[in-house]
Amino acid sequence: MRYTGYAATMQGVWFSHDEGMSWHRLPTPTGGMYNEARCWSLAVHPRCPGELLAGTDQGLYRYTDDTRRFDYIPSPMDDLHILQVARHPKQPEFIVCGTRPAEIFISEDNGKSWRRSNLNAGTECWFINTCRVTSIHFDSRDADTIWITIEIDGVFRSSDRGRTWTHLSEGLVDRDTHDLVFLDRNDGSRTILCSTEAGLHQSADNGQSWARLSVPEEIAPWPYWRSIKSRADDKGVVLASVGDKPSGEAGVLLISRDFGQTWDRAQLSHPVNSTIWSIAVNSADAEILFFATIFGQIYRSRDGGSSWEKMQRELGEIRAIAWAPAAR
Amino acid sequence: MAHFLYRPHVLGPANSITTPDLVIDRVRLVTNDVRGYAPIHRLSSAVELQVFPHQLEITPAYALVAAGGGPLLGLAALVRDSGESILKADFLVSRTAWRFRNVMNHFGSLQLGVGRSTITDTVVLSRLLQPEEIMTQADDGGLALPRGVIALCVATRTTLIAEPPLEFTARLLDQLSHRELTLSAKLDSVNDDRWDGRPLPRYTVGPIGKVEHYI
Repeated sequence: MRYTGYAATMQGVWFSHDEGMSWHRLPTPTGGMYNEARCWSLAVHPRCPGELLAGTDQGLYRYTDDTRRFDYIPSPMDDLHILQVARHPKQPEFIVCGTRPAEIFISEDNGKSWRRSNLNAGTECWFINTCRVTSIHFDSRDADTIWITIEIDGVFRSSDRGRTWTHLSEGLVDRDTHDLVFLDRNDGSRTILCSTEAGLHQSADNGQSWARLSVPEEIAPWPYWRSIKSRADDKGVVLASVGDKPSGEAGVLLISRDFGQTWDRAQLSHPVNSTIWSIAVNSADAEILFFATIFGQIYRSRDGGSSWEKMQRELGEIRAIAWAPAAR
Repeated sequence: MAHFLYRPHVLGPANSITTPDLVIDRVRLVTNDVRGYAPIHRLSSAVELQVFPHQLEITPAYALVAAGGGPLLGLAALVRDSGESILKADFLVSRTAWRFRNVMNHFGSLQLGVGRSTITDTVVLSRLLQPEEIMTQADDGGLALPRGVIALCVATRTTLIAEPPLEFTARLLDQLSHRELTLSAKLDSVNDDRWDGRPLPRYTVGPIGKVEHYI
């Protein structure tokens, strides 16, 4: 299967058409987006190969392989940092964006019109001063339910497509939350894992309460958990990144085969140079994964996350990485 | 001097695109009867605006924007209280534009219109003030505007009258090239609130225990 890799960086969006070996940007004069726009987020289209949404500091953009360029999507987000973009996996015209300051914007017509959600996230916070959206997730059991994490304001859930929100932070040791993964079992039970600045947390009651999980220091030397992703084959395999600090110098990738109860270090060809910021999975092939460190390294796995090879090309600061089957 | 950062996506006829960022600090309004300058802070590329709960007139305009590669032709819409001078309007400008020289040979046939869910009122540009009456001769024989200037040629007789809240769309249609520019915006009344009981702002903290705090 041919696939395309995408990287959102502080110098635009980069593409790879050779399985991550080399990366390039669109032609500078005609790419459709300033090629040094700060880009934080990407969303591939679940049904249209070659289509990508990118959230930047200049607005929201759509790339297609047909046009080979970005097209600007008018929205109320032009003066905000679009830190997260997510497309509903079953209703791809339903798009949710999260910004800094922490606001949620929703389109139900593929970006033609937008509404601002009444998300009552903190308007000021300790340390980073301004809250921001760090992840967006669509509930696999209910098409109208959306989950988000906010740095620094915990977890929120909406059951009505973003019209109202419930704050779900009881038990979180730290409201500096980064990412979520969900395990839904046949008996109706659900476990949610939440990565935070102060370790990994788990909820067994749909987010009503959280408890921090203990992970041995020899496995996770630091408390700063960042990206967490379920492998796309629904076998309970979870990958998570742990780093010394956000703009630090070290990190590890952990793999769990029992949905977070126990963890091992993934085998990397080279040590990372900073916290692993983003992990990319795609249901098209659960064995192919990518991750990127915040300071520009890219790694690829072809065996479902057990072993990883560092790609030669390094980019600038990478904020998101993704991959999707190629259009042609 | 105050300015507006205009970030157009300039679409070429062969589906090409360039994205210059242009600093604009002079807004010139022209009609068959009126010519004058308006404050730059009234210029915006926002897609949402708050207005007073009065009857409004929404009037489309074609925009000429000074640019080093040749003036741009864009689309704007003036939003003002009914009966108010166009010089006191808010000027919304679309972030997509064409290069003027790519349409100059059939400029008069372009159609400018405005409407709510559909475009209901249109005018051909040949009935408006023409670009050669607005711009000056450039060294290369073409037309040009001084740097930093946007000129809005207003179609005063093509007006949508409505009260907020409303959504409208303005359009500049090039039937010859099968292209169009659109500008859609939502106008909310200042008296309307999206919150049913607007909450007080919250300050949030991260760690509760003794955890060294990072970003």
